[in-house]
Amino acid sequence: MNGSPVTGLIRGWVDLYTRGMPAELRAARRDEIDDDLWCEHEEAAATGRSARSRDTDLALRLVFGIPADITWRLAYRGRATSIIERSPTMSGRVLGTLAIIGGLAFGSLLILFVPFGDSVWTGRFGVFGVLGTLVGAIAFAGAAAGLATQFPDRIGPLGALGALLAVLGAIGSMGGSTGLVTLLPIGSAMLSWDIGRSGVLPRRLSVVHAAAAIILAAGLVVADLAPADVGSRASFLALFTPYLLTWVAIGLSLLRGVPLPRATTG
Amino acid sequence: MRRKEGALVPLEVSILGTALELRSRGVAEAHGFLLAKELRDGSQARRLTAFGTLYKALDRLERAGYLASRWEEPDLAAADGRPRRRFYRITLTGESALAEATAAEQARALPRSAAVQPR
Repeated sequence: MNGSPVTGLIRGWVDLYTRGMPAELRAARRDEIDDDLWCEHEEAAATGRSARSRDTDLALRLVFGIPADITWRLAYRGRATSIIERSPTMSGRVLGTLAIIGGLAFGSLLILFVPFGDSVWTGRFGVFGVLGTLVGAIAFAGAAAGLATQFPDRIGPLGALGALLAVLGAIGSMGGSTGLVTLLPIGSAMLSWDIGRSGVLPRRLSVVHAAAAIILAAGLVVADLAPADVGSRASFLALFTPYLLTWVAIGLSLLRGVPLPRATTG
Repeated sequence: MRRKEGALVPLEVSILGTALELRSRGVAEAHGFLLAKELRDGSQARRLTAFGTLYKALDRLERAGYLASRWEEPDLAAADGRPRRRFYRITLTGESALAEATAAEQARALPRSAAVQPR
């Protein structure tokens, strides 16, 4: 088979749209197209077709197939994410439980905060408020740190930094430090985005969590963090609720299963 | 629009039909070019099915379990001085799917033909 410009173009296109795929799949597609090209050249030679006629047909076969090549490549990307093998594991259960405890503990405190205000932490039963804050903060810190350390083959720099910020934010929430509390949603947004991209969490869940976290972080920057009236406290609850619910959803997802470690090669 | 899982498009039906037809002629396995050539000859088309369309359809049919494939021994390809070749064969599931698709197509065609019958 000679190296006509059209043949080179077809090979270049195959090389382009298979870029980033596993080497075995790339080679399979390349070899299959190569064989097809070889056959077409052989047939043209056997039937006495001109090189021009043959190359025109090849070019048309290339052009008309481009949409299918692109959709095939995009579908492969979707499959590659969706075929991650998940299995319930002990560490997944622990992390999932921590995420749920964190979400429920902070959520319960905020619900009580609407009618009772700061007396949730300072009143007669304030010890329960303080205890709830500690439990929630430790649970969130543990979940964030655990997500970063349990999946070393799937966590990137963004996720690692996010986990660190989330841990600092969770610890900061124990002391009521406004600046540090804001780090919790910022950090968890970065962490969830990263682990969603690598398949630890379902992609949609990670996106929803990141969105809820960004809204909460923005709200914490502009909102009055010591609201005096019930209405303002209810707004505060509304600001937190989606974020805490997505933590519970993350916990449930982790309980159902986490990706198994990637097989190492060589 | 996303098509129904397992539903066959006309090209996929044609590929399965071609694979079955080739098998009845003693060609149990066929590579991509041969299938494309048979499809062209069967439909009196001027040129072969586009690369992307053909190999995407073959990939989908294989993932659905309607076709099975194997790569030939590299030595054979090297001896012929050509690239290695992938052979496809229709599976029992593929035959059933083809029969269902053909029956469904006939069922759809019946009301249409009845509608044009003189009363």
